[in-house]
Amino acid sequence: MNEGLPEFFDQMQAFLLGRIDVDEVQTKLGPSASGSQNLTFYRTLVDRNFHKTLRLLFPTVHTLAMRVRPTMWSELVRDYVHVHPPRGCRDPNRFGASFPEFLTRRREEKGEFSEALEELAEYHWIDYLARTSTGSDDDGFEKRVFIRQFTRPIPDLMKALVEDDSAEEPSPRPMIVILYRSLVDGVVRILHPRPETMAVLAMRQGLDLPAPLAQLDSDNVKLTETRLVEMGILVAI
Amino acid sequence: MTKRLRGVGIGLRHPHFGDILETSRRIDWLEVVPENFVGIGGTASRVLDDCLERWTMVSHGVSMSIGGPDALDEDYLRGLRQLCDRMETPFYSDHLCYSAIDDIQMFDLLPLPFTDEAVEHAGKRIRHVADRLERDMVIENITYYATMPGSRLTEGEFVHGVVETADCGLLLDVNNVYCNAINHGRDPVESLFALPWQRAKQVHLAGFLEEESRLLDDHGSPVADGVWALYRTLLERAGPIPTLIEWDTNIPDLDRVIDEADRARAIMDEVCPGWENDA
Repeated sequence: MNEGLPEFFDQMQAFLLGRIDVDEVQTKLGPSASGSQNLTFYRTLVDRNFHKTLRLLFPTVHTLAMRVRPTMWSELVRDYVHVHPPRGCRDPNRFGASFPEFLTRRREEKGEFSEALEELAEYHWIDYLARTSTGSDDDGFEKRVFIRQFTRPIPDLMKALVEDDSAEEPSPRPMIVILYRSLVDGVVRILHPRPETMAVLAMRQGLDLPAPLAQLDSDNVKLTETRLVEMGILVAI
Repeated sequence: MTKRLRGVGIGLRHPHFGDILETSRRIDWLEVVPENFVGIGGTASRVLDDCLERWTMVSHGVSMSIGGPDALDEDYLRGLRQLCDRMETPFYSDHLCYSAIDDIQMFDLLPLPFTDEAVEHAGKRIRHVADRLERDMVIENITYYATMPGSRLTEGEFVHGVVETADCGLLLDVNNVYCNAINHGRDPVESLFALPWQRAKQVHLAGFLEEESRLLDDHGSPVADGVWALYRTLLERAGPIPTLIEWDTNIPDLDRVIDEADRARAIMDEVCPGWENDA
């Protein structure tokens, strides 16, 4: 590239991300033959794309954010793009990778909403990862199998919001959820684990068992492991 | 080995994963967006393999940013090459645009300035991708809502320049031609034949959205009458060209998309009788 294109891209990036206005672009690059209004439309398009991508990735978070206040979703998208622009996101889904963590930090700083938003975002995100991860020979923890503790029954809330966007947010009730893509049929499911399940999953990850799990009946733990393999959660070893 | 493309295809889209393998209706070929398959497992990968047993498939990228300022992603090109090999796709197509700057994706197909410099830049990068993929490249004319500052060429001169510099094929998107013509106050037929239509390896047809005074290329509705008329005019002059129905937003059930493909094939049958028997 010679000087023309690098300058063009520098100015267009600043313009498309809202850092400079259309007059400044045209001062630097010359006028658009289509006029300022049509050139400005590209900023509108890019902004719409950021909103749409995140809304499609986190539809239930969008629903709850709009309940906080009508401008909340737009504020979240604007601030998220500022902190986490979609760098390297050839797959638009990857744009959402930092959204749960962003929501956590936002809640801790401003306290505008409950943990439900970040937990729904996390649930959407691990659901996407489980559906799309490539195969591996191991158990696929944090790729195909995810263990999460939520402050509320997040899978139920997600389902309720998908069916009815006026569904009530449930009261806090801590729960552990395993979300996995089955090795048997490729379907993504959730499991509410028993203590024996947690023991097996901990052992498979090479973790020390806390006392309550270490004291479980070893035959029951072994049976549970067999069952988890049959369900396609764990690989047979 | 690569497969041959002919007739009318549709895009393989996620909402149709459950129905596509069950349909008994005619679909001549399928097009996939490779970004949805490169490095991605699960259902998508399984459906792709199943479809490959039945159809010829081609790969149509949306994020190569072929005209962009960033270095081409060699890791992605390796993955894309593997996908194209797996699909035995006869060529790889992408858009004549940029979509990222400093690796920040804008999630859109953004127009380049119509300049000789941009012709050289895009042409060189298209050749690079063709070399890496070891197959022909086909580049699509995009919809543009504003002529970029600094432009010195017409759209037709720009696209001609790029395909000749790159020595590549053209994916002639007739809906984009129509939208650009209306949005910029030009005659659609003149706009169509101002492009290097003789290099067309594939045609795209899609619906647009009318928003205020603009036609937006949103692929969210049936093909408009004006676009069908332009398609017919193209085939009358150019002969049969493999044609794809794109429907990417407000996606209806599979049968509705296939209805559009049937309509395109009926036009091909009428304008180019015997096309199926051509060698």
